[in-house]
Formats: sequence, structure tokens, C-alpha cells
Amino acid sequence: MRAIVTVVGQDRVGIIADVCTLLAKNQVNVLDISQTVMQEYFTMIMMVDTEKTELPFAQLVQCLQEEGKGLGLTIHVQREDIFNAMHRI
Amino acid sequence: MLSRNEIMQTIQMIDQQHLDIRTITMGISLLSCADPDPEACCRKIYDKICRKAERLVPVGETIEAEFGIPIVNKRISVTPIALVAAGCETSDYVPFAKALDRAAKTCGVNFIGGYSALVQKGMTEADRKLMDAIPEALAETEFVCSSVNVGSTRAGINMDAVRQMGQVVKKTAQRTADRDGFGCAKLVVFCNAVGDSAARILEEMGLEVCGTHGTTAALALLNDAVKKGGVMASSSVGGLSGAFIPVSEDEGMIAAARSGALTLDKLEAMTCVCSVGLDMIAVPGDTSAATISAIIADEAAIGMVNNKTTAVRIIPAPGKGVGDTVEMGGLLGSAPVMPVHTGSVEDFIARGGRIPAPLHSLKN
Repeated sequence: MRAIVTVVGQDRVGIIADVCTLLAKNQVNVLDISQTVMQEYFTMIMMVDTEKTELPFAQLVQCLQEEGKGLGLTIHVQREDIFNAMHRI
Repeated sequence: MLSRNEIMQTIQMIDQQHLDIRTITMGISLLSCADPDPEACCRKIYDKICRKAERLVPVGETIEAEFGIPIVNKRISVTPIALVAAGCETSDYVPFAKALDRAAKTCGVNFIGGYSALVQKGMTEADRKLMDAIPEALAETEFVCSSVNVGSTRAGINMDAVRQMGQVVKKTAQRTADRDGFGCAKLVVFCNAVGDSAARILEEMGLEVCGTHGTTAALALLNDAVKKGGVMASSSVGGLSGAFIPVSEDEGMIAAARSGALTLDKLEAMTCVCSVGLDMIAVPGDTSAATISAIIADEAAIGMVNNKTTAVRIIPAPGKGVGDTVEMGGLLGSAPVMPVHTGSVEDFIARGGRIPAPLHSLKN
């Protein structure tokens, strides 16, 4: 299943590395990344595949959110379906 | 591929604007529960609902967790009880409401709808018994919601039913007087039945206060945007997509009504351009049954002539007058008591009978 991960936080060295390590630890495969720094804020959007992760989706969401907090980042994970339902007919 | 903008917009809706799913509703047919013995009928109703809706709430909660979007209410809607109970040898329809209530409690849903009758074409004996039972049924149950459809564009308006519903609304308020007439919040009178602060949005569009001249036009514009947006975003549009304006749930509406800028007359005009109708309106406790019937008749006439759904959910708050506030609690909010016209309509309502369907109903 595909999901969208969004990451927002104060820019610093190693954010992408931290997030990718976190995802890899949970067997989440990164398919695509788009990122910018708006003023001092780092914002990143990732398309990921959660097929191989062992955690149920709701737990994965919670786990990434909590670990993100520890890194000073706001991490959202949502099923791709939501975005398609909102923006595609 | 989704664009960055679309993704950020959606995240913002969920995260900051508190996007939620208002409700999920499970429809259950109770026609198979008909039985001449009322006790057996109630037992079948309870059993069937519990069997069919057993997993409704847990599955709903799983979906909430999975998608990260809260579902505010989980509801059950059943076949109109006046049809299910018609074959029962009893004149007391209150036990059916209690059976629905018990089933709702067991399943853990927030509401159960279907304590209803469709009387636009005339009342059967069962419809009459159900309408008679509404005040007691709503006073003695917690989750049951009731509705009566009094008119349609095809059939016209059943004025006998309108007259009776005025009395039913009054009695329901009296039976729940200790809770500001709360029972009326669970009772809707329909014509053409199917299924953020709107006031502040209207004011954002350039009205100094909701209720002033131009409010109806601004609402038509807003409703158009909401409806077309609903069509675009969903592959199967169901229910009523449109701007809802229950006065008690909208702080802008409450403020406008309290200051006198928004009157019952203006609200009625506003319902000409959006679905739903007069929703959660509190009026003085001494409002007569005939006046309530007349308010229902006016709203039903708008629905009938314009081929749209309109409804009235009105609370004649016992012991309260203009300037007082009715507290419904929770999602239902609070409603300021609004003045009604004092000219008598007793004679008009006493005529009963039928308002015929309009000429444009002859489509077939």
C-alpha cells in the first residue's frame, strides 16, 4: 500500500538521513521525495510503500509521529487514498 | 501524480482545519421483523439490529485509526417503524422505540433513526399510532430519532398531519420540560424527505451581520459552491450535500439571532435556496400548537413548490421566552429563543385536509 509522508521542522544537518533511517528501520520503502526549505523551515513530502512493514498501519503512523517528535520534526503519514479521494474525480 | 500543493492542502485540512467525517450510517431493513405479537416484533427488531450492526462501531473506529480522520457519529437508520409495526395487534407503539433504544445502546451507536412515518399521501392507523406515541417515546429513550414526512411535490401537503404534528411537537417539549424540551431536538418534520460557522462565512462575503438584506443571495452562492464541490470530490454523491444551518450549532447564527438581526422570517427565506430548512429553532414555550403547525406548513410549502427537501426541527422551550437560551448540550449546542408572530392561525390549521400538489408535479 502506498502512503504519503510529510515532514516539517527547523532546518539542520541530517534531517533526510534521520527520516530515511527511521523509515528503513520499519521496512518502509521510499518511492519518491520532494523537498524545499521555506525560510528556515524544512518541508519534505515522500511517497512511500508500506507493503513490507510488519506494523499495522495505525501503529506505524503513531510510531513515526512519536519518533519524529524526538527528532524535533512533525511527521504525518497518510494513506494515498485520502489524497486521491480529495483531488481526483 | 499528486502535486505538492494538493498534498499540503489536504494535510492542512486534516491538521489545522479539523476535517472530519460527520457521520457514517448503516441502513437496516426491519420488514422481516413484522409480527402480530408486539412483544415478538420488538424482540425481532432488537435481535436483527444487534446482529447486523454488531461490528459497525469497531469497524468505524478501525477506519478512523487507519486514515487518521475522525468519524464524529455512527448511526443506524431503519425502515419506518409505522410500516414495521402496522401488522402488530397493539395500540401502544412506545415499546418499539424502547427496543430501538436498547439495540442502539448494545451496538454503541450515537443515534438510531427510523421511528418514523411517511404520511404525505394520508395517514394509516399505524401512522396515527406512531405519531401519538412520539412524545412519550422521545422522553423515555436516549438514542432514538423520529421523523414524519408530511408532504411531497408529487403528493401535496397533508394538513391533517401538519395539524397533528404541531400538537406532537408541543407535547414532546412538555414531556421533556426538565431538559429544556430536549425531546424536540430528536424530532424532524419533513417535506420531500431523503437525508465552521455558515453565518461567519456569509459575513466574510460582505454582510455586516447574518440576517440582513442580501443574506439569502449570499447563502445561494455559498450553497452552490458547497454542492458543486461535493460533486467534484466524490464519485458517488449521497445524502444532502449543501450548507447546513442549524441555528444552535453555529455560533455566528446564535449571535445574529440573539442580537435580533436574524429573525425566523429571514431564516425561512434562506431555506428557499438551501436544503434542510428550519433546524434547531427555539421558540417561546407558550407558542401554540397551531402556530407550530403553521411554521411546519410554511416550510413544507417551500419544499413542495420548489421540489426540494425541507425540514422543521423546532423546540417550544417550556417556561422560556424571547431572550432566554435553550441548552441542548454536546454537539447540539444552544439556541436563543426567537420571537414568533402572534397573529392567530387557529382557524387555518383547524381546516386540515390537503394542500394539493403543484402543477409541475404532473410529470409522468
